Amino acid sequence: MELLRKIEDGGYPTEYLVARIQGRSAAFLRDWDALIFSPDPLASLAATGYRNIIAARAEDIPWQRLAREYEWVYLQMNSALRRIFKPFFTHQELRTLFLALRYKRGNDEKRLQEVLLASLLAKTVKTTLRDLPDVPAVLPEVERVLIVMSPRFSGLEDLFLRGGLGAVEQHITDTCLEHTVRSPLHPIMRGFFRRLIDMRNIMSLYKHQRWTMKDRPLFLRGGTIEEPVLTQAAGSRTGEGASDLIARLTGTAPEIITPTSVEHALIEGMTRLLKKEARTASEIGRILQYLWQCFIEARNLSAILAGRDMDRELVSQEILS
Amino acid sequence: MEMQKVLIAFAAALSIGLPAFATAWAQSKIGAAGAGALAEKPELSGTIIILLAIPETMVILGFVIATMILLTVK
Repeated sequence: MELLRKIEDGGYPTEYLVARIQGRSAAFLRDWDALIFSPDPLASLAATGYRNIIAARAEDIPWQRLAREYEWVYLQMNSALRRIFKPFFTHQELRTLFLALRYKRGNDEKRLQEVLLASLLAKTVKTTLRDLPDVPAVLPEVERVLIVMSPRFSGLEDLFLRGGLGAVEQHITDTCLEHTVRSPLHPIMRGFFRRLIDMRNIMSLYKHQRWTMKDRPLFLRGGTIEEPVLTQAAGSRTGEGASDLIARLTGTAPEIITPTSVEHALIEGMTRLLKKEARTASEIGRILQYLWQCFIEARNLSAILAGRDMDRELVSQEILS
Repeated sequence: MEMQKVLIAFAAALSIGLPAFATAWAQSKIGAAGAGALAEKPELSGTIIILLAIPETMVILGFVIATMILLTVK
């Protein structure tokens, strides 16, 4: 059993997909500030082809739209591309899985159905999520699927009983990232996942330093920043460690260290890296950069919709470039 | 003498065969990318046809060279 849906269709040549995504890239919103500070940002959005988003006025619509776009890209891919991008889509579908588990826990059947609609999860996983009565019943089935990838996914039900859904999500995400970088990957995908691990480790380090936690943070292995460097930074007990590592990783560090600025610096560093890959590397880099840009757009749209009644300056700070 | 004829025929075959392969490869890539571009922007059809025809010049030149080899080299 696999986490992702099996596609029998052969898909299209890589050049075809790259040409299509280049055409679609033209539709990305670029001037977010002009949109946010316009007299009516939602009306401006509606004028740029986002009528559905505005009509629904729901923050999760951009994420559903993102899921549909990812599904479209996955279905267009040929089998060689699907093999290369499988870790990426697996990682993305973990988010769908977590949302579905949260809706299951909250008995929100409507949203559960919606989130599974454009999902790339395998039919068996979707059926499990839809039909089984509660999270403790679903988790052993999810574990049976994930354990094929790595035995470290075992014990999800126990983890849920001890630490709740948050602990399960953290465990699955971390195990999936570590497992992915250890498996054979395309060099660009390897670079992407190593950077994701770095981002996760730096966020852990920052939280550890900010809230002066006693326990040492658990760092994931496989990133570009070695574990001893992270451990040493965690021991320094100043905010400098995270800032230095962000500068080392992305080339620039935020002037003021806040949770938002750290997260933004890391995400924007990844955006710059992928843009560079898209310019200099093969089609894989271009496709990955497109998928990432779709994520950034969904996140920005979600922030605008969530902050429609908030101070625009605050909303502007949430926007990723 | 027979060997010379064989070599001339071989040279002519190479001069059209290699560009034909190159043209086929280039057109496969341009064709696929062109189909993708047309799916998103149908107004580009004229440009795509021109781009698709450009690699054809390679095989035409190969044909000319092959003809010259066969007709002029004795």
